[in-house]
Amino acid sequence: MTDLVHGNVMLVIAAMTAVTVSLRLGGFFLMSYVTVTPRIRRMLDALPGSVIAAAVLPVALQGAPVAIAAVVLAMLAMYVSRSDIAAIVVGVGTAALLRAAGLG
Amino acid sequence: MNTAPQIAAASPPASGGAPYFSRRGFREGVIAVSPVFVSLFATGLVFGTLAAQKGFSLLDALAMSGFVYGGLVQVVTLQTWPQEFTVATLLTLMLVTLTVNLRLFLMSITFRPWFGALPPWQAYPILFFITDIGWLRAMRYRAEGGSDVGFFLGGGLILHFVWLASTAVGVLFSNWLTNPRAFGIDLLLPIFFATLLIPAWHGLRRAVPWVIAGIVAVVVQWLVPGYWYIIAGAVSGALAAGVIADD
Repeated sequence: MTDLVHGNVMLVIAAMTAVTVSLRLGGFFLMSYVTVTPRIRRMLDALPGSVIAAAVLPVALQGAPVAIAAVVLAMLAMYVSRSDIAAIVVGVGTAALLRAAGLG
Repeated sequence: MNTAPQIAAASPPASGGAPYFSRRGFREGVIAVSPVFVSLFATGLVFGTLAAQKGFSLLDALAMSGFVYGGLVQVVTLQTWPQEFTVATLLTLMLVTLTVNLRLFLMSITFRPWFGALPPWQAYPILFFITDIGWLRAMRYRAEGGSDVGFFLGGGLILHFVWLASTAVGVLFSNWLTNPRAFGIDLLLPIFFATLLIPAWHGLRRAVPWVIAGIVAVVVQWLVPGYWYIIAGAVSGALAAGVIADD
């Protein structure tokens, strides 16, 4: 295996940048070749919520019970107050308190 | 903010008009993402601290935050950061980057209906600023009928600035933040994500794809190591929505 320069952090960063930039621009680029039918529109509409659910649920279940409590209370705070900042404070605060109490 | 009625964080609706830029939209975009500044700053501190512990210089850390620009992927790759770089370790880190960040590709797709009418030299540089938070907030804005690209750009630029600033502080004060878990900062992203489902709620039927996405993600995470579960769940949810007939 070829040895790259030891500790060449910048080279790795450049490679990671190439990957993320092509992802950030790629979806938009690709969609210029796709006709948005009603079906595709429904799929696009469901995408954001699906990304959220797929990203959150496994993390919440894995971090049980602290993560579950934090996420549920944050959602409750959002429902009651309609304020992102209140919800985040409640969620992060719940996690901090429960951990201070020796849970998780 | 948040006076917004509870409309889907999701759909770029038919109501959204042609894209334009305004200073006002830019300001609104900055304000819209401001609730996360404190926690984002804390996350940047964590990254800066970890990076310094791995031997990153200030410039290294700033380059990573500036160009790779993703809290999750930066922390994850740092945790597997090799001592010696070979082609194999380079490819591994690229693969990790790909799987952790595949969701950015999906987010990029959802900007097509909005930015599609912009000239490419404007659209593509702006898309560089896609982040979880900026994207979520912009999608909600779009769903509420907005089409000011300044809104997304304002949020994107300020988040990028906060991220760079907090990275720098983290590197410079790398002995300060020893246990981010104690402050619940590791759960910041799931919490922020989850709260955004509330304004996106549009009745049980519209939520079926989300449930499918969540279940598939949990199963895939259990079966397959890495971050494939996010993309598997998200794509399953979208496919389900395509199959479910409209009313």
